[in-house]
Amino acid sequence: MKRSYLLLTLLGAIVLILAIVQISVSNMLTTGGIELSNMQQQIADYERRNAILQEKIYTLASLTNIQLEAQRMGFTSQNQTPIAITDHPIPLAIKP
Amino acid sequence: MRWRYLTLVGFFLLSFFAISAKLFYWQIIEGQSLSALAQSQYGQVVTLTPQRGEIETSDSFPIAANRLSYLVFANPKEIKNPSETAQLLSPILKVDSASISALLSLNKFWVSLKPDATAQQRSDVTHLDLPGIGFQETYTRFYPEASMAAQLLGFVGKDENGNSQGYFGIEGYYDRQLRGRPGYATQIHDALGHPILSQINTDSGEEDGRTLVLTVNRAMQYLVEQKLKDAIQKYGADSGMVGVMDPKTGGILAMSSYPSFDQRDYSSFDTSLYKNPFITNTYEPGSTFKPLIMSSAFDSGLLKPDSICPICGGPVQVANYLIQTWNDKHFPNENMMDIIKNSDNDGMIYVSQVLGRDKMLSYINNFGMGQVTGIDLEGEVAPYLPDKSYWQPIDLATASFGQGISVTPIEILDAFSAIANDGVRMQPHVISQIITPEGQTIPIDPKILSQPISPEAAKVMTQILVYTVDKGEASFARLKGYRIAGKTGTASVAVAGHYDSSQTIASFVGFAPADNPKFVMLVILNHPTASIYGSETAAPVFFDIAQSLLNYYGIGPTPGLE
Repeated sequence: MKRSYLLLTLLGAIVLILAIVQISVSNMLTTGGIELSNMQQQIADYERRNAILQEKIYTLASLTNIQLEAQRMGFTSQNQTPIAITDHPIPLAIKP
Repeated sequence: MRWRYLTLVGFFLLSFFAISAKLFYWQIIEGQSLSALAQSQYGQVVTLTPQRGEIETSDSFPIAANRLSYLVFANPKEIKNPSETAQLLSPILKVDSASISALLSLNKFWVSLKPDATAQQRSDVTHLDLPGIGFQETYTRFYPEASMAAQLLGFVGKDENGNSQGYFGIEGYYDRQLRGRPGYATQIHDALGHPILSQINTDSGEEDGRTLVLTVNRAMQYLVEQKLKDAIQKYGADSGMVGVMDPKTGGILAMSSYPSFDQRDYSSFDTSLYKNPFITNTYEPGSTFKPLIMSSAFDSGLLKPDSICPICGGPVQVANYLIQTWNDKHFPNENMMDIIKNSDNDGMIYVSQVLGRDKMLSYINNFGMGQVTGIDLEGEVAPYLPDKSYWQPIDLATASFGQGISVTPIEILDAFSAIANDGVRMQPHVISQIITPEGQTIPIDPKILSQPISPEAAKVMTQILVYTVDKGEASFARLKGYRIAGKTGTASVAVAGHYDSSQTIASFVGFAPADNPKFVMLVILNHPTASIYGSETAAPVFFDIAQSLLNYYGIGPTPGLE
């Protein structure tokens, strides 16, 4: 009687331990999934920011933009007639 | 007793059969759909769209890149007030409010509102916090240099399934390299929808497109486009084109034509502008063809630069035709150098007669006429060159000065590059290397197409072309201090069966520096109105661009050289 009681207790304990292990492992996996999801979102966010920055760099480095900026700053192409500024020792940028 | 036994056995057999039948139904008949249903409950199959490969110029600048964009969509069933929602979205998405309102009023679960919204537009719409509006991340083509080299690049449109596909130019020719391979990933999630780490399918098979590195030099392309546009305006031409090539490798350094189109908004342009006229248009080359025939005569050993033309004292009769020079001037006892310098049609007839039909056609073939060059661009054509049995003496005579024979600009540029490259004709190409997503570089090696003339004949022809630039009709525009080889061309245009002398195709082809060429260039202006002659229109454009290119290469004028 005493032996069978012990056996039943042992079986109950095993069932209980396994149930706890299953719950904790499942919990860990679920948490891992959330972490993974967060990490994936972070990666996507960095990739998104990189893509936007890359686009800006390409636009700024384009010859079309450089020419516009140069014109805005007063640089002129070689074949355009420059205007001499007599009261300035070294005219670096001349806007006609 | 026995009947009870049989009833029990029968009951078990019937039960067994019923279970087997149901299992058969679930496993075999409904197996696939149940499997799909189960997968949809615990996971989701996501299509991973690859990024299209970039196209870079020779300085590694992406002339065609990818921009992060968003497809803005809506579920009209969730939107209670379509017109109010449309009013809010319209100024952000820059789409007509009535169009959005109409879409939101449809009896559908999904409608596309804007296919290529920017990140800023997405952010602005998100801040409105509207129900039933969603976004799908995607990549669309982005051109940092705007419409530069549009006809060279082609554009990216959609195929019949709505997938991106390249059309025309490089995008069309290298579409399979650029498009990559889509992947499919299964994301397993738990009952709450959280992704489960251990069940991610990482082997999606997705592969981004390959990057193409061009031989095209961005600075040269930009410069050529600017100069060509100005020239067309200055000389009142209908259209024009310029091609610049490295004669030693066949690499295209710049290729431009005007008018062109804008790849970003290609659908609003006439479809005829999608084609690259430098490889698809045919024309009669006029006098730019003369150096090819003359160098053939030198190569065959039948004529030398100081050989005398005995028929150049007046108009030449060929069959029933009396052929004049372009300016009705005649030069008795002219030598071969002066025939090219004076661009003398009668002198060229003499050269063709000395060469004879078989030799002349053989050289024309070796220079690549009537054949595609094989340039790696979509749409190249090869004008028809009749079989030699169809060539009459008058056909040979007119072909010798570039009339009555059709060529493409790329054929002339490539043939002329043979003179610049010791008689060796290279295959023109625009891609120098392909870079895989893993970073592996696949170089595209230059390829020899033919050697139409010997190095000696090429050298002699080069000297004559330098002499022509220095002393010929276009000498006023030449660059002092440089040895540049070149030839003008003014081809009459055939209109309704006869040549219209008021409409011409003005051209100039040449290379520089003559002794160690860095580039060979062809300039064509169609129907210029300021002057009909190549020497007064195309030649100044050639020298203007050549000056800039020589500056770019750091080649200055030689002191003391006139």
